[in-house]
Amino acid sequence: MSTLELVVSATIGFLVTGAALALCAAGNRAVASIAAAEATWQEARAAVTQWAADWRGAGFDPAATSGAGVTRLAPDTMEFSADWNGDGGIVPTASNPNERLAYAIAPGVFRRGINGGPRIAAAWPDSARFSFHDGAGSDLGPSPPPTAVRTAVLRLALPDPDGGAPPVAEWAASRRNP
Amino acid sequence: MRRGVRNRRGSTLVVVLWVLVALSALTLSATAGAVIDLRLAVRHREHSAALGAAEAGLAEALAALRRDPLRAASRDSVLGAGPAGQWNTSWSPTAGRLHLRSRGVAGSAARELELWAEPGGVGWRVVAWREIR
Repeated sequence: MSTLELVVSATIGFLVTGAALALCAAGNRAVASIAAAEATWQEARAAVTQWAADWRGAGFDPAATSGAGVTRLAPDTMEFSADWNGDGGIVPTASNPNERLAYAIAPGVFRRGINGGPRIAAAWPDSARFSFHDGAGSDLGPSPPPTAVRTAVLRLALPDPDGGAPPVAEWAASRRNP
Repeated sequence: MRRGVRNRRGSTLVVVLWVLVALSALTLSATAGAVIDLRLAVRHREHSAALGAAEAGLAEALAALRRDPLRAASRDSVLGAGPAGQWNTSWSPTAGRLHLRSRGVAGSAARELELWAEPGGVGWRVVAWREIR
């Protein structure tokens, strides 16, 4: 093999190796982007699942003495209570941590507060809003009478990893308690 | 001459192998991501279906109690299955009220409800509802 052949073959080898590495790097970036988007969706699903379960049970009051119910609803806030342990009260205790709940949303934030204490923040890079409907499905506007609301809808847009139009998702949950 | 041809073929083979390796890695990564995504979506759907099954069981239990009010006098249950999944709803009388538990299963997901019901106009009326799991 002559020196020229060696140089040419080495150059081609470098080019091929570089191209393959670039391809792998692009693939890694794509996979990381997909994983990040999936993690965001998964986090959103988990948070919304918790929210929906809480809202469905809002006003749970088996002893009929706690006064549990819905106290405040707004496009960015939901506050309600439930006597989960059935002791007839909604007094905060360490063993009974979530009888008074507050959800608050804002751009970049989705928070679930417990018993009026510090709200647990889950970073959520989007802007979301609640809307409220009665039993017949009529939209009750931004300041609904809490007792009239049966269905709450959470609408949110999650960031698109490719910078495109963000996919919008809507979740609805209906209260089951009177 | 023959040696030159062999070298070119060898170089071509190396290039093809590199491309195959890179494409395989990409395909593998994309497939793994898609599989994980699909499994999570299926899991989410199964949980929704299990909750639906538990609620279907509750509806069936209340209907059974309307048809035969005497069944409310003692501990009893209904079993059933529907498009959403299977359910097992049981109840027991407690101080003039009924305490119900309804468990729905869909695929590998299970959800359970706890309810209290009081005598209503016809049959029983749910007065307290919550998800246990």
